[in-house]
Amino acid sequence: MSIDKDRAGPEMQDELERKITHALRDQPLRRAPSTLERRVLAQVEAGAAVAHWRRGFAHWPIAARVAFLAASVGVVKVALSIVMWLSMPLDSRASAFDLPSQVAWLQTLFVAIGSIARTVPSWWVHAGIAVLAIMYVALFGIGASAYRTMRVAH
Amino acid sequence: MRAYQDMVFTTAARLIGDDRQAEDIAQEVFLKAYENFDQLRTSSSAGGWLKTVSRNLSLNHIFRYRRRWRMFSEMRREDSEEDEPEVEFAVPDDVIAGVDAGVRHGLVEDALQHLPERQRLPLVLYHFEELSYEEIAERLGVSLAKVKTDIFRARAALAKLLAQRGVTAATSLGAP
Repeated sequence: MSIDKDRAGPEMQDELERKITHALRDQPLRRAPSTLERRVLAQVEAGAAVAHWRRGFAHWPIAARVAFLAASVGVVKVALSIVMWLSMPLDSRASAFDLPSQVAWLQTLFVAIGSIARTVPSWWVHAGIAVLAIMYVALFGIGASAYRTMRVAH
Repeated sequence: MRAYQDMVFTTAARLIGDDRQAEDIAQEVFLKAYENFDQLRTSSSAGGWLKTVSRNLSLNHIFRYRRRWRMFSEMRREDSEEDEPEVEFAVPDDVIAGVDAGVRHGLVEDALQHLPERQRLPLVLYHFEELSYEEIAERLGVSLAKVKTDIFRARAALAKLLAQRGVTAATSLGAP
């Protein structure tokens, strides 16, 4: 039968702490495996050989980071313009954008997409978004579990 | 790196209780040190930084592993009293006294690795990492009372393990 901490009494606890402290005192460091240094150096060399764009954003050169941010702002602006254009009434679009003839098919495409989008019932859109969200979460969960499992196995 | 690799590896090995995983953690610690090399090169507290990172990465590793297997093993073990040690007294003045120092050190490390994780963690944090009970409770996310109980049980279990391992060569703990 084990003796519970509360039943052991303070003297017994103090005595046990003193003995264990004595046993653990001056316990030397363990020697690291001889492979550790080699593994670290190999990882450092492998990391140095990786292109900057494959590392984290914080490791990118300043110029690359600025260019990426500028490009991101541009993409967002274009996306917003497209959304605004699609939300306009059909008859006012022609005056809003005067596209060159080479890309006039784009205008036709967007008009067609906009027309279809307006005919789709709203609950379809909501249900589609919900299904996409569930699939994304499921994919994320499966991916994370697989990554961790394989990482531990490795 | 050579000056600190034993310290980093030992910290991880004692907390995790597995040499192979401890080596992985040690490698991760030194890669982080490499990323912060400019700061650490001139710092007088590089050793403390490495020890703290080693401790934190080890605990993170343990918590990640524990979450994964909690449903299968930890819950069963939490309720189990089968492996709770008996605390037998009187304890001799020197645990496994008379054993050669090198052998004794090996016995202690071996006994530490055989402690259940819930006992080994608070014991190592208290005796080797020199954290207070309150700091351990906060770091492990458990109550202060549980930390005290687990450390008490860990000491008792360690004493019993040491006595079992040193019984042929030394005065045994709890022997009549």
